[in-house]
Amino acid sequence: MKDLGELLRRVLSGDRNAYSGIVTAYQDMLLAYAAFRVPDAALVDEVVQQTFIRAYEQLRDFQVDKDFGVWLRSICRFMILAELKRVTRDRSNKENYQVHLRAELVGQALARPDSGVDEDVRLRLQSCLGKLQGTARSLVTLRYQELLKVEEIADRMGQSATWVATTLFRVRETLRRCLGEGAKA
Amino acid sequence: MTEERFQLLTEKYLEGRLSEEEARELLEAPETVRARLYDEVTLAGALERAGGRSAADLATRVQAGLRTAAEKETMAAVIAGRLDGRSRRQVAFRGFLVLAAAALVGISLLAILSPRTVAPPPASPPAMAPAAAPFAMSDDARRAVARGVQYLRKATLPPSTHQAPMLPDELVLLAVLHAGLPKDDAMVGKLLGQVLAVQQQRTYCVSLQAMALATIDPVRYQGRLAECAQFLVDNQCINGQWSYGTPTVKPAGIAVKKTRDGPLSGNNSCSSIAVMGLRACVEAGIRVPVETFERSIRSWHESLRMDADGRGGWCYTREESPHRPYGSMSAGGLAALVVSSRLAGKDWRQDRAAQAAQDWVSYHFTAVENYGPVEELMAKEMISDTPNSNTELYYFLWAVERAAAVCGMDKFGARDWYTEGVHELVAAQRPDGSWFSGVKRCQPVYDTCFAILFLTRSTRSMRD
Repeated sequence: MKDLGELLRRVLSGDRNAYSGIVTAYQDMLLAYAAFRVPDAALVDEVVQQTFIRAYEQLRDFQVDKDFGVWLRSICRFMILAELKRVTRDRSNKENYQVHLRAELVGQALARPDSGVDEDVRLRLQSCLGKLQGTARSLVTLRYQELLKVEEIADRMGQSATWVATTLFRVRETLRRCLGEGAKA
Repeated sequence: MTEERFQLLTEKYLEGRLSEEEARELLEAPETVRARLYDEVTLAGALERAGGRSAADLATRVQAGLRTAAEKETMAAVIAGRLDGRSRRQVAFRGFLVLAAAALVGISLLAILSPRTVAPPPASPPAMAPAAAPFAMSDDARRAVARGVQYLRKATLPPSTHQAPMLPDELVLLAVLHAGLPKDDAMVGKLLGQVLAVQQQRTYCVSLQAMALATIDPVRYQGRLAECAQFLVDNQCINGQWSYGTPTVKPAGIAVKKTRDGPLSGNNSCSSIAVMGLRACVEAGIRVPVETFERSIRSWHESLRMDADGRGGWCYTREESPHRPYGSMSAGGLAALVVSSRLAGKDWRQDRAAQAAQDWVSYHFTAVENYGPVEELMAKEMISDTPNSNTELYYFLWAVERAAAVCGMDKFGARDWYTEGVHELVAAQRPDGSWFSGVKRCQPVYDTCFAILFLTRSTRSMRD
């Protein structure tokens, strides 16, 4: 990335295109932050996009001696809360248990302190994924890269849906252990 | 719940196939189950992200979003420009009439008064505000207000955050009066008795007391209103702001004279409410030195912070570094500046600070957020029980109502502030009838009062 200060100066002087450099530099960090807090993959991109737009609008408020990433995450957190409030306050959702379940999960996520290590976790996760072999690797590819449903994977692999669900749980448990070991190291 | 069942429901959640009954089952499961669900869901989300789901076009989408916002802003500016041109022509003739009338009034005043004071028209006949409500409240809003009052009847009033043992009686009294409770209601009687029984000690309480007494009966309580005015005049800070205040002398009559200064400087929150309290006194027939309002105008001018785009607003104090405007202070400041200008005999429409603040509030108003710098909002969250995005939202909404009323605005920008506010408040009311923004110092009692004062459009407009 070009010098952040230089990019900020260009954006503040009216060069809107220079903002793309900032977005590119910080998007992985912010996507990781949002992904660990928003239990809805489709919403993650939307929240991050809105965060960058809001940050642009408030760029003059940013104090150059502060950490730009921390500032972006605080905006992102705010945008997640705003989205959560919007959804739960919609009167048509008052009796919608799915909405309230999602809201509770987001609430759990936001109650956790911002350790700023989500991007590290994402990188370690990639490393752990590289260690998977055989069936586990195939399952992860089908489920999380090709985004197939459990039933579809079961059909393709000639197994029951329960087997797929249980095996995915085990794979995630393995990955969680791997992440834990990475953190200790 | 069995392990197998939990795994099945988790996968269904991830696929978005969970039925309402299944969602309810998870919601009602022990907390440990939901904590596990959270772990599974977030790890799955991270796996999707780590597994190569690209966001390569994010920068492009952000640029598209920024273009859309800029286009909307340009269009709004064009429309505002056209409307502005039209209204300027209308204002030109009206301005002539106003100037002529003001000249006559001014000559009469000069002959009568020395030193200069603000001489109000004769006090309006005592009237309960709800009966005189100049607008039709929707059924939704009316029901919400009634439920809010029911909550306040049962609520335990919290002690003042500023000085024990004073209670927020004045705020509750003002709210229930505007909600339509009659003078002979037991709750009104009790609150009024408590308010009148204590010495005037603090700026917020005295200002709210003046507004409440002027609503109940400005003639009967004129003496007490003069005491309120004396307190507010004597507690004005040297720089024209107000701080929390300390007791002062009683006035000799209804013409108040300044007997001392307050501290060197105060804050914009106290200042915005103090001016509304003084307005109530003036409208009740109390004579207030015009210098009070001139100093107030100067202080609002001096603490205004301009954005690079020509909009301006306020934050809590002028000393804050960096000083950046946010919603509640900017809307409250706009209302106070306009009232100060009118009571000082000036045309607020010619006031650049008022225009800049009007632009700021118009641009940033939403009924779901007390807009402001993220750092400010995050700092406020630290004093809340739970993180929330509606920091001091109801305090903000009441400030918006005051600003809109004194400026005579049905809309801020393209936003119908009242309709949007009602929609938000009706949706956000809690089952017990209260509102709560989650910030400790606002407490449900305060937030409920702010919501009622918004819904009932408690601030009277000011005529040219």
